[in-house]
Formats: sequence, C-alpha cells, structure tokens
Amino acid sequence: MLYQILLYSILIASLVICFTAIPSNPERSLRMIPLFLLYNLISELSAYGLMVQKRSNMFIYDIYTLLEFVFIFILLFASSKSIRFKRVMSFYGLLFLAAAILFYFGWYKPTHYNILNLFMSFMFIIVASGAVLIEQLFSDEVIRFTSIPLFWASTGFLIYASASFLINTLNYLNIVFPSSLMVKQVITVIGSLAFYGGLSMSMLCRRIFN
Amino acid sequence: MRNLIIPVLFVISLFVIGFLTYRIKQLSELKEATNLNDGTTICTECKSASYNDISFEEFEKWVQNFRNFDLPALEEHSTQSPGVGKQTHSVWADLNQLENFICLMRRKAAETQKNTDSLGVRFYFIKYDANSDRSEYSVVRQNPNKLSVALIPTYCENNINYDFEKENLKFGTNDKAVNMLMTFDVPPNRRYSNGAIPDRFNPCPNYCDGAIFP
Repeated sequence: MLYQILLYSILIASLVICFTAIPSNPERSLRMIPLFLLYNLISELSAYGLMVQKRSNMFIYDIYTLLEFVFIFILLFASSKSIRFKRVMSFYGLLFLAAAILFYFGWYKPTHYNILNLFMSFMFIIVASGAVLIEQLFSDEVIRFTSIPLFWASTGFLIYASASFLINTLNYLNIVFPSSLMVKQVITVIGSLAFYGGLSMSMLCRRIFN
Repeated sequence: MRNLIIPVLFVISLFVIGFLTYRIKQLSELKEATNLNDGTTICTECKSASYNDISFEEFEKWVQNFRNFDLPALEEHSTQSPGVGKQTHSVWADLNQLENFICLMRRKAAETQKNTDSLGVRFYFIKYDANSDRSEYSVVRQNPNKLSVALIPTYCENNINYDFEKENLKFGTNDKAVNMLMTFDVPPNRRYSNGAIPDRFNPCPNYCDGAIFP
C-alpha cells in the first residue's frame, strides 16, 4: 500500500505543480502537460478501481499506451528544430499507427494486450528523447538548461522509458529472481519520479529560473 | 477562474489522501480481524492436522516435477489451441467461496438424507472452452483453453465415495437454483495489471503476484 501511496503522491504533486505553472508558460505544447497528467491520474484510478472489482483493466493501459505516444510525439515534434529528426519521427509515427491498426483489426493478436505498441512506444521514447538531448547538447547556441524545458522533459522520458522497458521485458520473459517484486517496485518508482519530475521541471523552467 | 485551480486541486488531493487513508485503515482492520491467536474462534478442530500434510521441500520438489516434466508437453500441445499462450501453473480459490460451497454441500446432503459426516469433494481436471458464451469478464472467457480444476461434492456409502447425482447437483428451486459444481479461479492471464503505468504489463500465470512459485 505504501508503494501505491508513493506513486499517487508523486503523480498528484506533479499535477499540482504543473497546473500552477500554466500561466507562466506561453507555449501551447507545454500546456498539454497538466492535461496529460490529469489523464494519467484518471487512468491510474480507473485501473485501480477495476482491479479492486477483479475486472479487466488492461484496456485502460492499452489506450494509455496510444495516447502517451501521441502526447510525447507532439511534444517532441513541436519542440524540435531538426527537419531530419522530424522526418524520422513521422516515419516512426506511421509505423506505430500501422502496428496499432494491425492489432485492433485482429491481424496480430497473440495476446489480449497490445505488447507490440507498448514496446514500440518505449523504443520510440528512448530514441526520440535521446535524439532531442543530443540535438540540444550539440547545438551551436549557448546552452542554458534552465531555459530549455524540453531538456528536462526528454531526460525524464529517457529514464522513464528505459526503466519501463526493463521491467516490462523482465515481465514478458518471465524472469523471476530473489526480491523480484521489490526490485520491480524500486525501478517503477524511479521511472515515475523521472517522468513526473521531468515534466514538472519543464513546466517550472520559466517560472523559477527566468 | 485561474485562482480556483489550486483550491480545487487541493480539495481533490485531500479527497484522494482521505480515501487512501480510509483504505489502509480498512485493510489493517481486516488483517487484525483474521489474525487469530488461537484458532478456536472459527474452527472446530484445529489443534492438530487431520489431513495428509507435506513438507515445504516436498511441495517445492513436486511443483518442480510438474513444471519440468509435464508442463512442457502440455504447453507444446497448447500452442495448437488459440489464446492459450503459457499453460496454467496454479489455480486459486477464495476461502469465502469455498466455505460457501461446503455450506451448500452440507445443506444439500441433509436435504437429500445423506450422511453429512462423510462428505467429500472430488477435484476434476478440466479445460475451459475456446469459445464460451459466458460474460466477457468470466474466468472462462479470460482464459480460453486453459487447464483448471472443478469441484463436485461426494458422499460415502459402503466405503465408496460417490459423486452427487446429477439431479442433486442443484441447490434451491427454479431460476434461483445454483449448481453444486465449482471451478477455481485460474490466476488471470493478464486479466488485470496491478502495476502502475511504468509497470503495466504483468503476465500471469507465469508471473503472478503472491504465488510462492509463480
């Protein structure tokens, strides 16, 4: 229970921070963050409610995977200046869409849960946020991290997706080792902290540092 | 309007924290209630075991025997059936449902003049249908082609344990009658994830939370 409380606390704290920081953020893409976090909270609570009633809740995570991809795609696409990067992202977006269509039209359905899109989404987040970070670090302009919201968001996405990729791969391959549950929970909390922390920091950039 | 955001969020947060605190209290009370110091409160005979007990080492070894020698063959066979994936490793039952089943069984035995002191339960190995018209959330629909166990009450006559006759397998009358047959819950095959968003893929029965040998 402490684990759940910890995760919800991180999410709620991040939600409060992001909503309070809306007025200081003129960028439209950043204004999506609080709404996305609100959607996160609703998803988590709905999934928890269904789990308590012993009803299927995997469709919530399935929808979440799609919307999470769309959210991160728009955020990174809108903020990136590299045309090459945008082209690669568009191509990947089409691949993701094709995979979703394949899954939902029943052509690829070995499981009840859309693992294909889940892992594609993680791969995309890792590669795209890594590329955004590299783009910023190698830019000719003077780097001032406190004025680059996307730096914090990308770092958060990178850690979150790597952590999620690891635990979901362990789950998928049925790798169980001593203290498996504890290790999974620690990695999940680290992933959540990075994700929500990164988004909160990106919202706070202009408010605190400028 | 903007000034309202923080108070509204604050109130929502308070509600969530309040709900979580209430759940913790509820769960801890439940734990206290079931944590009996001496087993005499709900059990009639539990000073010693009257059943065939086994050691943990035997349990572990025998589970591994099944996993190593029989499960691979079952899983190989299962790959030909749609929707199976990995085969069942274990089944799970709610104790209240088991007690309810035993209670109905005793009542039915008394109603049909059977000796209630020598009742028993037979466990049949079963396989769920691939295409069932049960509800979407039923165990059967969630686990097509999976192995499970079904229970049928038995009574004893002349040292032979007979299954209840088909006409005695209904309890109650008309549309309110219930079947005196029970199946266990196969640990859900990702029927629900109990992880948070970063840990949203939790394949069970191969990795089931709570099982000592998942």
